[in-house]
Amino acid sequence: MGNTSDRVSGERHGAKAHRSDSSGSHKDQEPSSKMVDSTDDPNIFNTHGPESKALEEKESDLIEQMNTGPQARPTVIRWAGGGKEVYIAGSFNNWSTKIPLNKSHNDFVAILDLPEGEHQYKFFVDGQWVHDPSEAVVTSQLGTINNLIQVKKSDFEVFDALHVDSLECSDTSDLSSSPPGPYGQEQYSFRPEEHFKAPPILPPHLLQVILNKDTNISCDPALLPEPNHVMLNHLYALSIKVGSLESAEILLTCFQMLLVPHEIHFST
Amino acid sequence: MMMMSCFLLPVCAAAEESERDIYMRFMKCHKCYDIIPTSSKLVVFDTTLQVKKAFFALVANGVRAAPLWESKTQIFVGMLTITDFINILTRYYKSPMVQIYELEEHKIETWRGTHCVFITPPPLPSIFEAVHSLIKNKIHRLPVIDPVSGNALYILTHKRILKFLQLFVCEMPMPAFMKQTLEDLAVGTYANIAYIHPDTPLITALCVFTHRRVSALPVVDHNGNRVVDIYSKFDVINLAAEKTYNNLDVTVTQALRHRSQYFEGVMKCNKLETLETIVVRIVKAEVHRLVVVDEESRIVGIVSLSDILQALVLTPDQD
Repeated sequence: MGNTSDRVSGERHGAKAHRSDSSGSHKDQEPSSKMVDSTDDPNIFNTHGPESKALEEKESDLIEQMNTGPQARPTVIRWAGGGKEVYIAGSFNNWSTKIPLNKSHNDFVAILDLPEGEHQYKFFVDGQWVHDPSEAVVTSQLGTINNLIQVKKSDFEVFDALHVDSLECSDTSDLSSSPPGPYGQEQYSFRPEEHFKAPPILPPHLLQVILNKDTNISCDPALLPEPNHVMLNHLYALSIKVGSLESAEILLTCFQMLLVPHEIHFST
Repeated sequence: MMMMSCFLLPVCAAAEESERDIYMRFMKCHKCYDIIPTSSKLVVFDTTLQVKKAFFALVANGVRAAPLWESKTQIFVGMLTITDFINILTRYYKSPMVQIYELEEHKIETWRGTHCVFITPPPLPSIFEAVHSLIKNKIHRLPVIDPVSGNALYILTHKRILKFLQLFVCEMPMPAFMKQTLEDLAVGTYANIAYIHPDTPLITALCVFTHRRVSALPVVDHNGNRVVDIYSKFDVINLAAEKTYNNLDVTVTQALRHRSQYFEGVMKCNKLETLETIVVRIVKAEVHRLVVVDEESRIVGIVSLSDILQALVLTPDQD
């Protein structure tokens, strides 16, 4: 348990360290064994010196990034090519550090703040530099093949809220455990004098939308994997790009299918 | 995962007569609900969506039909399918040089206003009634609407129904007519088959779809009418995927180039094969029809899922 949280917090710090780098305020990773996260009770922050400082800085970074330019967009980077340890580096961090990706169910994910524009990047998988053949590539000046990503402001107008939440969340591979935070027996009492800067964290389960997951090519393309029951009966709204069209509004909902046969009665 | 419903066979003397309509009784016993998958996706379009975006959305989401929702009246008013795409193209295509204005600018409601007839899905307590509705109206997609919430749940197809039946076939006594040949049972179409050639221009093929109301065209060569390929309605949506719908003067062969790598060949059969063999083959191949050919691979007829379901479920007592 202790080891897990160390590894997890280390990986998360990796992702976060990059964010701090991009704003230039923090160089080294904080040595911390506790899962640092925003909670409902701000008093938690004050009892841990270095972490609270890190958090306050992180919060102000966040606000800074939201309010001023150059607009950096939280971008999901996914590696589905297998491997044990996957890192990414790119033109966005001048190829200076390797950012670890977090292991999810069958792939590795990282969410990076990328400013608008074109970025080259490459994956470092189990000691080897490789590119993702399924994504756009470009040949660099040195003759190597790197992946290319275009970050546009229009891609993320509504995603912003979701991605900000996902940055705050714990890694998505640990869905079975309780979200981090203080647990106790006293009921939560609202203190109106407290000012919360951000809404509560979105549970990581809700980020795993199955609606566009790939399924086996041999079966009916409309079939989907069976969902985690906590994902049902939620309404998701997205504004996404479909091919070369301007953003089309697509509303996604998850219905609960009744798991026992029942009669559908018709009033005629 | 299929839900196992209780299906009790009447335990009477196993006369062949009582087995003839066994599949019909099976279908009457099961509800449409039993056939809906545990987890699947459904795409619904608002009728004010642009028709071009709608077709791109079908491709992007990997579905081939979508129920249409009219916000003003708060009801489902129809379905948008690849047939609509084909009909727009055949009606308004002029030349590769001219954009198809109606495709580029119309909304779904504009297109539907002039052309479409919605077959209201009747309340569907049993799969038998679904089969009856599909075959009687000569349609391939039937939306299942939950009457309590008014939500669309699933789009039912012949393929899904036959696959469901096939799962339970070994648990039922097989009627004698399953061992009879296609020829004896007269299952399939053997006269006036609609077909095309490898060099047929795409626009001609699309017009045949519209006028003959068929869902696939066998491609036969010029010497002997040997079946070399098949062009189905499903292949047409590739024009939207690759955005090549503005040049319909290309040949069918060129249009089919996109699938040459993984295409397993035209699924064929012979009219001397038994209905049982045909059902197994068509379900395994996951296609909607088999082309009936002779020993030289020359086209003789077509047998489709509609023909098979009609024979198994609707009219099993025909000889």
